[in-house]
Amino acid sequence: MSSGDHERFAPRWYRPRRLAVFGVIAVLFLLTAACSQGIQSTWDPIGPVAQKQLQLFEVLVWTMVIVFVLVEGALIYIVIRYRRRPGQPRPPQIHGHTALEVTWTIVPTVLILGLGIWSVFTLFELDQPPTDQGEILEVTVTGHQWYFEFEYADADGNGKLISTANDLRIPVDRPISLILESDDVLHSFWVPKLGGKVDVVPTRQNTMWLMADSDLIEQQLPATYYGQCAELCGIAHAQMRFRVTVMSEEDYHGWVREYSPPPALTPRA
Amino acid sequence: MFFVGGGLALLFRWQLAYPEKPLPIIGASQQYLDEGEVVTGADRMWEKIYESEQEEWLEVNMPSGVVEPAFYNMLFTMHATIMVFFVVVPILVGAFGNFLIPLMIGTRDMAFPLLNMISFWLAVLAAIIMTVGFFVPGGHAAAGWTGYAPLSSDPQWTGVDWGQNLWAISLLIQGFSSMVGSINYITTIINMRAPGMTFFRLPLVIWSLFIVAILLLLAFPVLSSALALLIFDRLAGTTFFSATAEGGGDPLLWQHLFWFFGHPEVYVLILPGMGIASELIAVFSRKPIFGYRSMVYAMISIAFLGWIVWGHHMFQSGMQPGLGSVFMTTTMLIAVPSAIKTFNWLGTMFRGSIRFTAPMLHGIAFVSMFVIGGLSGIYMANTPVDIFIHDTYYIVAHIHYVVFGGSLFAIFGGIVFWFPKMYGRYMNDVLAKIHFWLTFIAFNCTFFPMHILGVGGHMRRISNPMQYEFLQGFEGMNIFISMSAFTLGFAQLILVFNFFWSMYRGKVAEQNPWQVNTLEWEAPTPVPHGNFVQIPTVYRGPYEYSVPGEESDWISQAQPEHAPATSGD
Repeated sequence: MSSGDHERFAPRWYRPRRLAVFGVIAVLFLLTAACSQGIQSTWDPIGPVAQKQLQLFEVLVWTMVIVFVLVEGALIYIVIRYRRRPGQPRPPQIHGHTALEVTWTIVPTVLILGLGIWSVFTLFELDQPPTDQGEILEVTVTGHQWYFEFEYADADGNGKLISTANDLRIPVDRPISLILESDDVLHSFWVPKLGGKVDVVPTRQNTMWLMADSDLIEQQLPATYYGQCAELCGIAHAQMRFRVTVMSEEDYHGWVREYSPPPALTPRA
Repeated sequence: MFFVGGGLALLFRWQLAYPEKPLPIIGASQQYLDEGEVVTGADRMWEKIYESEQEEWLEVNMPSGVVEPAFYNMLFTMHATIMVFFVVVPILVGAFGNFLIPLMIGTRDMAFPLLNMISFWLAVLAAIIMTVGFFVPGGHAAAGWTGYAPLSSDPQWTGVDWGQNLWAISLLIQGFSSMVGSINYITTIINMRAPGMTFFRLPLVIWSLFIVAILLLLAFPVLSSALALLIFDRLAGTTFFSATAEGGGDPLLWQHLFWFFGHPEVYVLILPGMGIASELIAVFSRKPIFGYRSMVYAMISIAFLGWIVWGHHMFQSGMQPGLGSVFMTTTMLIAVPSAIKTFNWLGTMFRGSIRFTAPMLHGIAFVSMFVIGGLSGIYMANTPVDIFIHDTYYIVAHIHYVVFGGSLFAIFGGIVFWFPKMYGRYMNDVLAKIHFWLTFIAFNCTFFPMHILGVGGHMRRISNPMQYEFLQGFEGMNIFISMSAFTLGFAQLILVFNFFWSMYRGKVAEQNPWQVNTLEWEAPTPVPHGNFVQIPTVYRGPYEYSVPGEESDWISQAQPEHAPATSGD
């Protein structure tokens, strides 16, 4: 049974080469794992919602990188160390190892529950806007095919009504509470730098909050950030984006004052 | 009869799927080429090759060789639909199931041969209907493979009319094919095992197919119902998923129904792959599977937990944090049985005598790629983090690491491994290994960078990312991904060629060329109608390799010389 085996089950010249390839791939992985600095990158939040998400994300990255290195490292080690070599004794009959199996069941469970509990706290924190960080500004967001409409029912505290398309202007350092609706199909409202993403679902009102933090914003105000629709909504889904302009409190009130609705068209007589 | 049917199904699905696979990437890369004004060569090529009415189709959908957004939406929708429903499930569950179950449990045929044929032909019918959808006016379905309502439930939102209807009808029929097949698998495995083949002497791949059959049987009715409601909305004016409150419908209903099916469905995609990987790893480490019973219980836990996690696909739909927490916890818990299985595979190889045959390479790749896919899943399970990465390329990366890196590598490994049983010849070893390495490298080059794209804010399902200022920095990476994807696609031709060439010219194999314990290798090759000359009696578990005191390092499950061993744990 064993003659002719050797030839069939991988000739010797083969193995060093596969180590080299594994090595190259491993290095490539590590290189590509370097943080990207895209403009919308998650590594650069300008608001507390995005920041809290990032904190959790970073914890996960470190945990998962360690797990990855350990597990894949073990795999590579085992695959190299226990490759078939002539003159080797037969592999031992190991059907299991209770202590080991119990350990590697309990440890991941504990780790995961720990991460889970932390995340639950973050999730609840992110659900409602803070009431102690300044006056909450409420904006209604309506998704249409294919633009977002923003309606301020009370833009300046005196009941002024403002309506814009794809242009959300917010004062810095104040929580913005969003009420999200849809006029037609599912869309999803997302401003990566500020964080938070919620689908707009027709027949429902969803809620979300955002805040721009002046401590985190590096540029001069007014600063513009981008948002995009994040749920397939038809032919022009790819074109559905909007801008969020963060302004100082004075600039914001200035804008509100100067805003006047477009003149209503009167039909010709 | 049915193992031939299984083999044919395999080929059939292959042809159907592969033309689709590169297209979404072609669409994207052509956009980029268009920006750089390099498209004129493609113009001329299109004109020359397609001079008939095909050119008109091209003019509408790809003017000047550039993919229109509506067409792009259709491309990724159909890519996913075809790959999930018409490639992975038919090959893993249909082809491997039909082929392996009777042989590995030691019986002559399935419990219900006629029902089995019906299952096959229903799948063919579904595939035909799905294909017809490409040729109707308005184009094929374009609402994503997830078909979210109300985009999918009313033609006015996408402009797609009969395409989406045919999509729904086809999947409905495909569902029946799976459900009927599941009844067969479950009955066969429970009732027709050879004497001595207790449940805990079943090979793990059979366990996985058994569990998957139960999942399919219970999950598909939910999808079928959702599809039926969708068809009613589209054709009969009902308002189940309506966008307006008048009819009393709710778009979220679709999401719940679809994902209640959809999540068990993705475990259907991975579990048989895990089963195949277990076979390959034990056989080619010449060592018993580490923790056989734990492997079984882990698969059962994964299948069970899979029913209570569906909400994680809907974290952003406006879910209350309390509900989100529940789904987050159950989803994160699924990592535990998956981790147990991974450690058990490592434990199997540990102190083994590993032979780097082509199937083994695929088995090892399965484990390593599944680890990556699984780890990225933990990020997505975590609701606050998912807020950022939902609907970005991070999700696309995860999906492909588990389905391609996992299931597809298991499929490739399984094909090379069982080929000698199907056709009495080996697949060409050199070609198989070249195919493996090209696929492995191109696969990682294609999908690993997508993690980075996703974290950088690159959304899914957008036909032209370059119009977003903040995504322009990713142009280089997108081109790299596209080029890798083309390489990956073309590499599969090697496997297809190898498959057909080896059927006629492959090196002739003896009855049990890999020296494997399980029962299918007891049957003669090619396997005759009725499978075995004589129904074997089973005396031991499937993974008794390198037993001390035995002359050879393997013992067939049917070999009676020694007292029956304990089952393989």
